[in-house]
Amino acid sequence: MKETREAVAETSNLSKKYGLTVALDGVDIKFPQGELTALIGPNGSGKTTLLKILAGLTYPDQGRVRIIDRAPDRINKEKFAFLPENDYLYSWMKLEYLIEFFARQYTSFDRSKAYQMTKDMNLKPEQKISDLSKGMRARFKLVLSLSRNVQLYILDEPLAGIDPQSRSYILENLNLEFARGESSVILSTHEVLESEKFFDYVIMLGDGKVQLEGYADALRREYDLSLQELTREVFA
Amino acid sequence: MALLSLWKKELREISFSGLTLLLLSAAFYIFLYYQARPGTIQIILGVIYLPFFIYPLFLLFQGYRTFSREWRERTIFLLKSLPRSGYEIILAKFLAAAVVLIVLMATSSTGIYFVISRNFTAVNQILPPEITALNWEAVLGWGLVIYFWLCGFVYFTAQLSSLTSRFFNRFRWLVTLLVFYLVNYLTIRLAGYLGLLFDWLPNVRHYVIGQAEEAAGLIEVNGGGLAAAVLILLILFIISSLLLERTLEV
Repeated sequence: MKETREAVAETSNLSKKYGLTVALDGVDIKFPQGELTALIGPNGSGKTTLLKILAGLTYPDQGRVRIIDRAPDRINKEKFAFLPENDYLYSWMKLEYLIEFFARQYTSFDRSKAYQMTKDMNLKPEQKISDLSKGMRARFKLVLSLSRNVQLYILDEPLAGIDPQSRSYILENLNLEFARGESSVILSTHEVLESEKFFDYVIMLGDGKVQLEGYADALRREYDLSLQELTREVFA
Repeated sequence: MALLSLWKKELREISFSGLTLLLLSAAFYIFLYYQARPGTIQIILGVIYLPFFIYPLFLLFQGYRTFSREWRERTIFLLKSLPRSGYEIILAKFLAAAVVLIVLMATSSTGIYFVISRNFTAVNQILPPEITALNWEAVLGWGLVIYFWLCGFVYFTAQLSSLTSRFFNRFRWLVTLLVFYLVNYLTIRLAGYLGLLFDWLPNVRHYVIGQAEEAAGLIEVNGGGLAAAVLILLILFIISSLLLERTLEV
């Protein structure tokens, strides 16, 4: 079992309600630095809310959040990349316009990497967002996030709606990305079977609480199950 | 560079509605130009400023729409993920609307100039001498200041109302309307207090008939009122920016 590394992001006693619905209920998590952390849970388990709070788009009712050694704010938005689950791109923009827009907004954005990844993902820079299919948009969203050289990538369901071929390309890329340096990845996904070999650390979230967490290898050994099987057991 | 790119994006977002209004205004003045004759000049003079009543409505619409559209199309996720402050985002949006307004006003002013020039003699005949003798630089200068303030006020009030309605999941239209009326009421009250607070500022005087002795030809703008008007726009701008950056969730 690997030793626990320093946290790139952490929450303590984090709670969030939407009306009468409890999205998060006193969540304490430390996301280890330099690892790919998978956030697994059924719909409505609080994964998206947690990631939005980490990204500074939603505010907790209670508790504390630290991301790259400070509360989520305008300054550290430059140090992490957030990929939301939904379609958040301006439909009138061309891909090349968005790449230039991101390059001007983020000092950490690597324009040449973005163009290379766009090509690798079988997308054309002169295409308009409105002309792309759902899968193509998902791929391009990922291009925009992964083209930033940052300490942390927060990806909310990045594989949803993407064909199997592109999914494996994306996962390989993610793996390469943080193997290269000190980057960390927090990834929420339903695609456990396909992606579990890439996970270092796993957090299973259900009913707004952490149901199970630990290093992927240690969990597999302890329960003698694959992560896919373990997920089924936990949320049965 | 970041603000400039944000401004360009905003300008592109409102370019369609701005361009439509520009073409309509141009068509209106071309129509007036060819219809203006000595016999119709009184009607022409009556409607020649009509677009200037439409433009504040355009600003009102833009102020409301800028953020409601971001939320509806989910692009607010992108906007709020940028390492930009609320001030920068609001400023970029306002500057884009202001540029469109300036272009519209320039078009209308050019249209008015050509219509009047073509019928200069007829216009001079029907206008009373106290109007034609006016110092138009001062009158137009102050007219523009007041007009720009009104457009800015309408824009920021609509924007603040739209942002406030985002705290609610239902009845957003109703909340927007209520906040819009409430902000107008509070602004009038606040302007009164601010005007008194800055009463010590000197008044600004312009003799529009060019004879300093004639009180009737004097435009006198209260310095306190002027400061209050500027401060109100600034307060609306700051509140909207803080709401966007620190309070509103997506």
